[in-house]
Amino acid sequence: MRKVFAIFTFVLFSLLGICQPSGSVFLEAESFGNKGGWVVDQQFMDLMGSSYLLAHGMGIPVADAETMVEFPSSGEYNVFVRTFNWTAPWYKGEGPGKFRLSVNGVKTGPVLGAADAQWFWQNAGKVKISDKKVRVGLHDLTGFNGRVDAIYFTMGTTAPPPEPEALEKFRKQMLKIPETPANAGSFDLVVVGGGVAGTAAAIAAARLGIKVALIQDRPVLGGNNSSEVRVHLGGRIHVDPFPALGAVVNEIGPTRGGNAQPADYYEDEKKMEMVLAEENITLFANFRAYAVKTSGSRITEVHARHIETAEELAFKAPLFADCTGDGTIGFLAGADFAMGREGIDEFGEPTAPEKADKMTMGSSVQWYSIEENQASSFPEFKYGVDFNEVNAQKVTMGEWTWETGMFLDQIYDFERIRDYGLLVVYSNWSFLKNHSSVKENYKNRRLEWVAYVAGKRESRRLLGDHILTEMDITNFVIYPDASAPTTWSIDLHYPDPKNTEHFPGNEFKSIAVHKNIHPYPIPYRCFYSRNIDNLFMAGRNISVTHVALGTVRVMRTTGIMGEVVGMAASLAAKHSTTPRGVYQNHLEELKTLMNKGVGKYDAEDIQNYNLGGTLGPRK
Amino acid sequence: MLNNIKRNLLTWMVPGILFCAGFSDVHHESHRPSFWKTDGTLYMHYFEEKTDSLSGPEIYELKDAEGLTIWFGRYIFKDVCISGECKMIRLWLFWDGAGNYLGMELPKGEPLTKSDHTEFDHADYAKLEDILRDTSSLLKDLKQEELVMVPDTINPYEVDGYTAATRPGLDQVVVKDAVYTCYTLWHTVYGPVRSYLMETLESRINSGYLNLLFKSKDPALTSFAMEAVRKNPEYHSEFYPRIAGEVLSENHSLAGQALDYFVPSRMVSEEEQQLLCSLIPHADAQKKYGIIWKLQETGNVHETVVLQMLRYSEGGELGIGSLNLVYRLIQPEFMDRNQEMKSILDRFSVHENPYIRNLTARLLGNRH
Repeated sequence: MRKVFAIFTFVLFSLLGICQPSGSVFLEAESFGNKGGWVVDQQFMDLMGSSYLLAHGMGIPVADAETMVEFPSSGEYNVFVRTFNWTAPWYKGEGPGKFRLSVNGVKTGPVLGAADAQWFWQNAGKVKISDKKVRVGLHDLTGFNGRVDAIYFTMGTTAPPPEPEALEKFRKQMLKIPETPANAGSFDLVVVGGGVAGTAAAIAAARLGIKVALIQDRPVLGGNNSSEVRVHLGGRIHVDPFPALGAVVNEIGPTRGGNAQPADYYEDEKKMEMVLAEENITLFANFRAYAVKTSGSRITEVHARHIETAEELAFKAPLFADCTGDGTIGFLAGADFAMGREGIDEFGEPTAPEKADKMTMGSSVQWYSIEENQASSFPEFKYGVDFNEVNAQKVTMGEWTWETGMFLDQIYDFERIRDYGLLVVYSNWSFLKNHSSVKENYKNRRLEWVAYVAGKRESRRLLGDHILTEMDITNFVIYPDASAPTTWSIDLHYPDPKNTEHFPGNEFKSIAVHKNIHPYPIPYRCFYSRNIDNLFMAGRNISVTHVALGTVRVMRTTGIMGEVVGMAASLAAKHSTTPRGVYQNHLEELKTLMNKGVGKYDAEDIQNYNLGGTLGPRK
Repeated sequence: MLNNIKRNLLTWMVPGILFCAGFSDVHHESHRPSFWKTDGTLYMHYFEEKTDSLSGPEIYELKDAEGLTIWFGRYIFKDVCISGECKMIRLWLFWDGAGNYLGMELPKGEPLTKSDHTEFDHADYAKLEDILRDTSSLLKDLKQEELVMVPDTINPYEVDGYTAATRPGLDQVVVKDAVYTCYTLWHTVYGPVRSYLMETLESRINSGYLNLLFKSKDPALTSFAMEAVRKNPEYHSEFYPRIAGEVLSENHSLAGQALDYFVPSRMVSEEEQQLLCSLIPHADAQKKYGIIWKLQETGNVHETVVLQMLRYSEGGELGIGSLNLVYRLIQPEFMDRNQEMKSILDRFSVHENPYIRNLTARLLGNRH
């Protein structure tokens, strides 16, 4: 109860289905008791209103998902399923994400998931219910990412409303979700986001004696460094002027590097057990924050919803840390933020473009294949991005260079960005396996893993009392509040010109342009919001320009930021002050903590991979 | 074994040979290369290279008293074409007993020159040496005509070093104004002579020769020996302990090669696994983890090896960061039947350290 809070609180509820008195049944797909081979995808909850089930079979149909549902009465029901054709932006025609609904094991209604370009309620025909207890199933037909948000059985003829706000009300009403979320408990600090930054922040704060709630919207911790995304840690720890920083990163960090490697490389269990070993942390895994309450310029509550059960909780605390990556908490609270590239006139950064624009670095859908002893097939997959001998990527894996969405909005277009990542992986692989002049080389190769959780590099950057710029770093401007050192080069990504030749405007490969730096201590003022008084930030959503983000965004560095934020939060709690108050009145105390560090286990330093190029310590 | 030697072996003294072949001095006397040795027995191989008929047909090999190669040397006499004309270069090239490029020697008064006829300076020679040591140089896959970009205004038959720009990207990997010389020498170092040397060396592989190679403690020869065992599995059982020993080498490259040798198919037996495991107390952190990952890759670690790893964990030879990896190696039946393993896990399950306690509880399936 104390630790992984309420993950399965609603299991029984979902197993029995959700019975509504009005002659209808509203069934959230993600709450299915047996998900078979379908996976829960929460990445776009803020956009389309819910997490959903995804048939991520990489070309092989996944096992059926099933759940038991109790209907209010027997009779004939109209059925509507919320889904859409995910390849519609690139291909005008039936999509590949096909599936069917089954009732008591019998397929019913038409093929679903292959129509319409946006989430909509697809009519799934009628079904006769004779026994009130019914087994509802989802039967994937292709393995190509069919998706289901919810299923609605009604004796009426009207589908649920399509508009997000109306649907949200309808959903709450049908699921009987209380207007006011239950109180999650009493905390000194609420950390939202369980990536490396958030995990390190929570651990650091907890070790310094304050009560922490850690909210993470996946079942595993680590974010981009988890087995779900598989980006290895980068950058250096134990660097001057605060070599004690990085101890937590070392404790939770995987012991070997590599992008897009088998899941066990990322040591999810270590991160999880390191967190669970902290008495002062209560972990809320599978909860995604979706709302905040504010009073004046302070956040008073964060509301989070379970990604499977829809249970909602309210988190109250004097201090919050936004480690979401997207700056979600700050955004919801009205924090100042930036997104895209500043023009050169704004800060005078040499690397900035002449005019500001919306371009960002992209998101990666990584993948790899394995060689087997026997041949394997892969279906034809042609949905608007055609590959041939000239433009095909004749490779067996794709890591960070497979990057999409630099010219789209990494928040509002994110589902499309992720889907384009999937589309090009499948399309290219299909060409290699079925048509390429070197298809013989791929005969025994099978697509073993493709990420469905995209690894995002950049979106909102919340603005603090200081905005870190390129010149701060290259001119080595040391501020009084110098803290977490950033060591990676200024590493900015652009579309690969070779890829642009073949896919102009729809690139999916990137190049990196590096500018090496001396290890540079980031001012602490980059770690709290300038207009939300009790909001810390750690991770890629701290207060930096686009160019400066190029260095701070790697995960050993974001982890160190987390450690500093955890330390600062402990001081803010101790002195009943704000993050800014720590800067103004307790900076020396923070430095003492940074000098001491919060390592607990005297773990041997094993973070020796992917350190990145550096100019070395500044003389 | 010197069965590839086509002529009778000659046991001449080295200086005499070099003198006869025209060698008289190094290109810069103050930097006589470290490989330079003349003590030993000199052998001559007959090597006919049709694409390089100007160079002599002899490859010389200096061996030590044990029979290990100290170096191979060949006198090169080649034309390098620049400025629309060809000039001859003369020099000695040397390779070590593993076929790696060792260095060069130039006849006195015949320095290498650039396209503008200026002589190479010390920095140029140093850069050239680096280029020739780079086995994967960009020069490897280029054709000679791809080295420069010819402006449209130039008749391609009149290309010279002055008017044609070095191809972009090559600037950093060639000596300025000497792209053809770099190219010619690189392809000479890694051309037919080297293929011949490798064939010769590989034909000598047998148990006795491998023993000599390992005994030499020479990093290049040891590396060659490990590669030879990898290519010739019949020597695995005899030499894997030697290779395992190299895992602890302070030479990172050798240590890495040694660890890489241990793929799952070479770590099937309990003895093989135990041997690697026994290195752990003596290894640095990086190597300890490397060994653990290697064991994990086998997918089937023997019970005694797992037990030993647990003892190391309890004894502190393995740090806390590796405990989750060690637990991955445990199969359920081990816990059922192995009392010592069970005892260690029982102690860990009530350990004062909550991380160890929780991790163990997860393993045992009864989280407290």
